Amino acid sequence: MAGLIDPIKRFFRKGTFAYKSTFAVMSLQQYLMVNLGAPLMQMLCFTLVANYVYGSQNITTWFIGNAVVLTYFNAIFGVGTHLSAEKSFGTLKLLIASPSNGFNLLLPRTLLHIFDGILTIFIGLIIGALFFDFHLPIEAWLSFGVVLLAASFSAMAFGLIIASIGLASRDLNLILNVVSMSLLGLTGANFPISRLPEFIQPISQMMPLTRSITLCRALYEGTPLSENTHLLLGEIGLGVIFMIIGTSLFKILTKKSIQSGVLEFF
Amino acid sequence: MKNPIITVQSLKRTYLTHIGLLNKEKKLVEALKGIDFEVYPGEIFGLLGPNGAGKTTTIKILTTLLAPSSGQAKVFGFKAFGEEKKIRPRINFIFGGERSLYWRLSGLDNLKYFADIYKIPRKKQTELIDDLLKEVGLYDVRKRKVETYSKGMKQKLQIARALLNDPEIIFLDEPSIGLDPVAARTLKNMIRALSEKGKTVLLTTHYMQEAEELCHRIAVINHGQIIALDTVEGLKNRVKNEQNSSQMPNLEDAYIHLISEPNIA
Ligand SMILES: Nc1ncnc2c1ncn2[C@@H]1O[C@H](COP(=O)(O)OP(=O)(O)O)[C@@H](O)[C@H]1O
Ligand SMILES: [Mg+2]
Repeated sequence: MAGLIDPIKRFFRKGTFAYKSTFAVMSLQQYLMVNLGAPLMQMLCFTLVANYVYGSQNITTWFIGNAVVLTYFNAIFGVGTHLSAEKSFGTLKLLIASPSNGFNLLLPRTLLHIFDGILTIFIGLIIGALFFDFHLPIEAWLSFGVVLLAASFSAMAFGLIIASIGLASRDLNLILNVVSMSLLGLTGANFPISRLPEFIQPISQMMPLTRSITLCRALYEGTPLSENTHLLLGEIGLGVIFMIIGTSLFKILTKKSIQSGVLEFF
Repeated sequence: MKNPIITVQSLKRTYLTHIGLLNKEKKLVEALKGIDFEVYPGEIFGLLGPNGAGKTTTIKILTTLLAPSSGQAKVFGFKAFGEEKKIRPRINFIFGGERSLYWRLSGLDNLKYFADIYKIPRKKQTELIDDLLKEVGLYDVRKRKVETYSKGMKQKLQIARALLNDPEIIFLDEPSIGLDPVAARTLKNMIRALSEKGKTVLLTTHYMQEAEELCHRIAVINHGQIIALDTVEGLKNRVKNEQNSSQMPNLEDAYIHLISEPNIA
């Protein structure tokens, strides 16, 4: 029995501790200000700008996009900075030299961020209900929730790729910012994908959240999830692929760092 | 004699460094120029040498965190690079300084986390962690965040962490750096106790008295080369003879004499 339950308990505890020890949450106050306040302000701002640019008849469209894309914050600045944070704590070497140095190291790290991401969106939606005339029929909430779960999962899996790149790069901040911008700009949250240059459109399709944003808008407009299951499966599939790429990259870059002697900063 | 537990042969390591921002010039640093030594089970083996001598590089290689450039580094008969999976569960290490802990977690949570990382069964964890906390004297402060710990307390927590997987070999890189005399003595006693339990310890230090009291054998390393390898008595005798002195030098005098000798290689 313990043989089955232990790994599950381990998974959850590793997830919680990794979240507590690396993400900048020191207090509820800080959580509200930084992890919730900043993204929500950004959502408001972008929604209003988009509304100004595209005209006011479809403000909810831009609101939904900007709410769903909020998971980028946890994905990039939470999950994406994990390994470079471990490197600067001096704990990376301990993890690498341990028996948990692959999937079982990386996967738990997405756990709380997935829920944190969904919580952020959820609070965003409440704000939307108050200010942007966002009303979702009761029967659509479950589907909406499922899509948000898939969205947050694939965003966090994407964050693992960034995290692994952080092992090799000394300029992680630059990467974090470029990737944030691409998520805000190319997923359809703030700009119609159909109006992007043609060579960029395939990139949008390879990004996390693109499908979920389309899906959420469709749900809002009354299309049931059952008509768009391919988008849902697409988002989940992308997440799985991101996980595999992230873990492989981690393995490769760890080995390279051991060879070139840059596993540590000193 | 028993078979060695660590074997190092003609071990070399170079680092490629880049100097300058734009006009990146590459420079090769030879940190280890081909060293040889063996460590036997149960030994406390000291690695002494000035800053930059190559001590940390040696320990990183043996702990599977750095690949050799050439030569051999074997632990339990396995290659430190290439067969690291066979080595890692059976060793542990502490690199000096206050890092390598999660400052935002309590001491207890740090140990729980690493116990999970080492896949120690939950049933065993509580007792094991409590025992370790008591052993290193942190039981009463176990629920405090590590950021509130003193240097000595952090170092004790590191030791508890390093003992979680009941390692056969423990590598300690300058473990006593920055510790006050009381904490340093506690550490010394712990290292001795480990050795008495049959663990092998490989240790670097700048404190000669510590080395003299603890180490069964010492390798003196300078500029990436081992310039002497012997018991404490052996090193002292050699220097006594070289100096034609009638008095036995202490380890510090012997060490300073050895590292100021022109390179013998
Ligand atoms: N990652 C690295 N990149 C470049 N040079 C390094 C690196 N690590 C160590 N060195 C150099 O290698 C030499 C040996 O360093 P080290 O093994 O840390 O010595 P010690 O631990 O004896 O003080 C030094 O000249 C040091 O500057
Ligand atoms: Mg050193």
